[in-house]
Amino acid sequence: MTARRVLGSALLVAALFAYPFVDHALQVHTVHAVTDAMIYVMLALGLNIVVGYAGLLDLGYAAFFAIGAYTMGLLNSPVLGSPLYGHWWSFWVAIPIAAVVSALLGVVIGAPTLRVRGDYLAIITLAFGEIIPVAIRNMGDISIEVGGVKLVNRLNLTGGENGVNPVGRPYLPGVPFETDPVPWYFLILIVGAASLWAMNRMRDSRLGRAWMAIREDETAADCMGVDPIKTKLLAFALGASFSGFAGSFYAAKLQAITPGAFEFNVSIMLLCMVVLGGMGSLKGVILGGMLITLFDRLILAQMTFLVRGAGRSLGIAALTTVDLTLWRWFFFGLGLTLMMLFKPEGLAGKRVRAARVEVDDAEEAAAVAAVAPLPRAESIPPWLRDRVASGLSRDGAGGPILEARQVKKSFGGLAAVSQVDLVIPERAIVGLIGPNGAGKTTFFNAVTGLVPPDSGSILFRGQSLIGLRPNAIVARGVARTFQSIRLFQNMTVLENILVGEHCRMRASVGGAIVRPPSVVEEEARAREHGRALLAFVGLADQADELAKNLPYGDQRRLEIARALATEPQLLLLDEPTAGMNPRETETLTEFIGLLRRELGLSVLLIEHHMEVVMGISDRITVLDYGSRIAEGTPAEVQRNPKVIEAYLGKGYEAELARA
Amino acid sequence: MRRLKWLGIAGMAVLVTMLAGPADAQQCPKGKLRIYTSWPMQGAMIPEGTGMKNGVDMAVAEAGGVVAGHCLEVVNLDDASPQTGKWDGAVEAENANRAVGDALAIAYIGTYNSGAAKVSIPITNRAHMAQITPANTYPGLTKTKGAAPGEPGIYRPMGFVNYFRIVPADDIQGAVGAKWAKQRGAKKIFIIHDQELYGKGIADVFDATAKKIGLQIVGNEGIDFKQPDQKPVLTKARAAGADLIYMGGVVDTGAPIVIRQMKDLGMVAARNVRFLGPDGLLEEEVLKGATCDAAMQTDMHITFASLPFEKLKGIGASTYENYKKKYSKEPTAYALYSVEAGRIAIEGIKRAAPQLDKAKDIKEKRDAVRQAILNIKNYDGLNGKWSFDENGDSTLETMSGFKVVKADNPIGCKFEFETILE
Amino acid sequence: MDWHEVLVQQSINGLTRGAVFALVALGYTMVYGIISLINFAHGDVFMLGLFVSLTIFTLLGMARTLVGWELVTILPLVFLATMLGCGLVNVTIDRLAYRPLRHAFRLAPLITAIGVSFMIENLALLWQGPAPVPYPDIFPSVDVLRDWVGLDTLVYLTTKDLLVIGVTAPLMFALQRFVTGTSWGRAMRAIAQDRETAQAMGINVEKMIMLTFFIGGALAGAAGLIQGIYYNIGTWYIGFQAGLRAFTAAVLGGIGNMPGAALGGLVIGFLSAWSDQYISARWTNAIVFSILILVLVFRPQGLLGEKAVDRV
Repeated sequence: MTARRVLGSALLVAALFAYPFVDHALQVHTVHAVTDAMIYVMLALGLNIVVGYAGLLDLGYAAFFAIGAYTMGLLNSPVLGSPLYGHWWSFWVAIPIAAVVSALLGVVIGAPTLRVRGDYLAIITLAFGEIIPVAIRNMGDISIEVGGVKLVNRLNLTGGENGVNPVGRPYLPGVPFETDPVPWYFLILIVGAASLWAMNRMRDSRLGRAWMAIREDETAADCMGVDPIKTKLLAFALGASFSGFAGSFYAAKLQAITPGAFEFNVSIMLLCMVVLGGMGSLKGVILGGMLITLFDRLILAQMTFLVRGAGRSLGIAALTTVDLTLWRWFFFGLGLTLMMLFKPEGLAGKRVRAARVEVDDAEEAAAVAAVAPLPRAESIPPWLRDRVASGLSRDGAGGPILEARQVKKSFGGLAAVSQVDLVIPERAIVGLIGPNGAGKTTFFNAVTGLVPPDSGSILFRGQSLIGLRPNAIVARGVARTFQSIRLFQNMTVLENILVGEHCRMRASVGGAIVRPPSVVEEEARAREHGRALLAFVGLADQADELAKNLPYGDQRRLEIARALATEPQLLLLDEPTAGMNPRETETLTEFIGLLRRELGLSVLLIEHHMEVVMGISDRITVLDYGSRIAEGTPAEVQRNPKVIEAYLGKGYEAELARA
Repeated sequence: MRRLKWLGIAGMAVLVTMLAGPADAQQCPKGKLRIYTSWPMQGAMIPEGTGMKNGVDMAVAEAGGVVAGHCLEVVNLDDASPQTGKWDGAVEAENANRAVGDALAIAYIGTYNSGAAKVSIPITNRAHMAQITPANTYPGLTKTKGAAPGEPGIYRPMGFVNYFRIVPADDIQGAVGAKWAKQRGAKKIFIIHDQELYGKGIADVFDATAKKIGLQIVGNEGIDFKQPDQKPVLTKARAAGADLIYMGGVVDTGAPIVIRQMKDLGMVAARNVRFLGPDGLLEEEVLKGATCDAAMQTDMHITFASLPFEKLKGIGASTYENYKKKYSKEPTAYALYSVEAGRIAIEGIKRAAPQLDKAKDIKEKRDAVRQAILNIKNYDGLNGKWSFDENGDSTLETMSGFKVVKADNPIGCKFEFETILE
Repeated sequence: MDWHEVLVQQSINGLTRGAVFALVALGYTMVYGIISLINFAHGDVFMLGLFVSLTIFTLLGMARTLVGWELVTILPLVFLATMLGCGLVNVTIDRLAYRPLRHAFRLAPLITAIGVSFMIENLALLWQGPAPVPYPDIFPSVDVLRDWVGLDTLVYLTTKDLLVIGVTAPLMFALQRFVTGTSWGRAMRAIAQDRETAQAMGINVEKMIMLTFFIGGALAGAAGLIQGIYYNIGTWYIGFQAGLRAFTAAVLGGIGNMPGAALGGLVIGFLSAWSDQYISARWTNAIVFSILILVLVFRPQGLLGEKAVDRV
């Protein structure tokens, strides 16, 4: 930390501390409003975990706010006769309960819905956001009558449209929570600061990276060993517990809650705060929250004043009666739209350099010249060598590492893969070739768990992979790359590698926040491993670059390095040389050979470059229309008439003869 | 640099707000006192909110702006939330806290919505400050009848009464409504409410009273007033054979839709189905939305927790005339009660004048005014002489019934006084 | 009323309600099908349809019950004008707000759509005011069963009910024919299947997206007009509520599937009307949205849709 930063922080703390006293001295009475705004900012920070970190658009976040507020309200109020009400400790006991209840409901609501993706998830959360207030309102007066027998008569579970009133306030000896807003200000300031600290630590941990990986590309994250369901559920639960916190402070500060305070508009305002400041940026969310509150409370009113004044002096009658405060929601909508169109990263978000799409000739030439040097055996990170070797020695050499029998998968009656057998011996490179649409990628997907096969068996080291989620398969030791590169574009190169190491790390939520020595050590080791791996593939200098800013060839290598970071024993490469120039292709071919030679990795390779696949494969399987039409050594396959007919073409034979 | 710019803007905004505060020019021998008001001033509530503000201003103007040597200043606050445009507990709490935190604040007039009063009464109570409402009618704010468990004690943390209302509570209006329904020949009643505090509260009182006096309640349904289609609920009422629809609600919670669609479903007076509602619906906006045709076909009747302005006598009549003269328009439903609320506050300050001079701090001053108001008896008010009872409620129980008649105005009809209800 | 009369009456309520949902749902489903965007502002275009048609009637001096020849001239004209207007509004929204984000990260267009929805709603609030706005009895209401057929029944079926069905059914039928039977319709379906390939085949993708938005907006406009004529009242927030229910209908039917949207609309219409009668109006919203959640979780492809496959 530089001296300037220390000074800045000290000034900030001093200003935050002095503010209520300045307010008091000036008699401007803004502490209440500021404290309320801070509660909303805390909510927005919770929403940021869900939307900004994990990329799950939650349109019903106000429902969790309501749940937190009602948990506090019902526990700490005489309305329903809570036994917890009326003690000096009531508030302090109810707070953690509210956070836990919200988190649990977050899990209960989240568990079934998180299997749903993207836009659908947004709609489901919206539906929950609509249902919860209805339920709270209606559950204040339940009567159930079946056949004239009153089973339940006017049962009150929530206070109904009356809401809950009063809600007990916190008690600390000598602190006037009853009458003075200042203690509230400090209480929420402390809680807010603690939340920020925790969130900051979570972001820079194994969990934070998993969230961001899910946000960037859920499928790829799954295939790199991140369990998407668990990760998303955790984001949901943590986000919910933050809103539970904020909700219970809201209820206790207000001393009364009504079901009308938690409607869709509140969710949207919170979303505005997050989007305005910058999704995923803590500083941004705070800035966004402050700006929106300021805009709402001050600027609109003052602007109305100014516009009316201008209208009077210019003699424009229409302007003299303008009330801009009525335009508030219009401006919020406009704000959301404009932010997305012109500054989607938000006010405080990282400005992202546009990915290089077009590369002019000179640059391309330079890129070719600067192509990474051939990876050398001695630069293989020792840890990787050890891990892969330990996997091998345990099972002894010789047996097949993967054995797929009669694998079948069809989509809507069309067989993409039918009755395919494929065996990969340990330390072997096996090529999988065939025309486009032959089912090669589908076969990859079946092995890595992305599409469950309809029938057949897939054994990895003798154990079935059928029915396992992709991330579980990665944990077993099977890693893959994708035909079209699927890096986590907005994460750094090193972070991409660290996501690969996710399934080999153990840090939990508590560990990520508290950071005991074991977690610190694990994190340091992971980074060290990651850097070594980057050095091995020749990307050491770009470690802190965003993945999307890398040139194409480097992205390919990064994707392979990321797969290696999962410490696999079997590597599935889907057209790794696609789009590469001859030099790059050559380097990569060498590289794959090196992995097998030095590490003993087994590789399954989909490839269209015949010289590559024929050059390094031990055996080749050929697919056509989903069926295996040939299997054998490269030489056998090349001469197989069926293969020539279906894939290589007649010209190839002639070419072969010439060679 | 960008950050500096933002800070600059924020700083400017704060500065502007502070400078915009009212400047004090008037000289008063005993200094200044402030009366705070709080109710919604947004959306559909703008006319009523403005009318109520006019009322308080008028009361202060009558006193020449000075009471017992104190200059009076009115601070109008809006308790509608920026987020929803409707009244909001957080904003109301902020308003009340702002009032009690002001060392010159002597009394609080408000609120319009009973739900908001639930939030602010405990705050003003702790500060010994009198709160006078021109409009809250939820019974539990002052009395145990028609209240939830614990009410009204929970609103009085200091144990004394500081909240006064000059309009009769809903337990009276709901009951009067049920009796009137019986008088007018209704037998089977279907109740609809908007699931809000006022609407459901008054509907429940109506329900209970109606059953007691031998009417048959064939249904009591809360509706989602945001749906433009209430035909299924009305069909349910029709299927139950209802000859009267009673709707608890206010102007913007679905009553126009209900009345309009009653007509569409043939639920009209000609087929022996009628509409009755409480004074939350006594607004021209309801007629506009429902159309006069539908309102008259359903023989729409409304109860009102007071006398109609035209029927007022004495002080009431002169207040009505003066209001019309001063603002050159008809008072809104609660505008004149705001005049009365303002007058009560001023009366309290006047009566407490000796104690005000002796008081050590603002809390004692507020308490003196609070006690003075509680002791007001036989006050010559809009509806004749009345007193505050021990709960802070007006002893008046006079109500009136209105019906819709054809009129020569842009809408084509209006509410007309029909009868006095006891 | 007997129980069967109640059931019939509530089913009529549900049918008319559902027909309107279905028209709105078609717009959701078409746009989702072609660019995988939940066009959040679609419900608000529906709301605009109501107010735009009301304005047209008022400008024409026809804000009253139409009689005789007016029914076959003025009414269809206003229908066409409203549909044209709302179609253009929808296209404009797409051009200004969604099109620049075709290749942005996946949440961007959805957040923009929410923003646009709020803008339209609040413009309507400022334009029409917060209170419910009465919509004149444009279409004469006749008690069909008793006055025309002479049946002695308590079931109430009016010419307005018939109008709703008489307009929505042909519109849906025409749309189905358009999509399956014309080259433009086929092009739209091709884009929905695979945009890149469609483009490679020489289909002007942006033009087809525009067309889709136009048709969706026009249908929403028609639905708004029908809503106005049928329920005779409009408020600025009906778009949000109707939009959510219509979206539920689209999901229920299988999003991207047009007959599915129509079916889903009717099912939601019936269920919500029956829920008002047989459960309680105050739970209806919770029930409708529970259906939405259950469908999305357990049968995301809806009643008629096909299971989607994640392309890797």
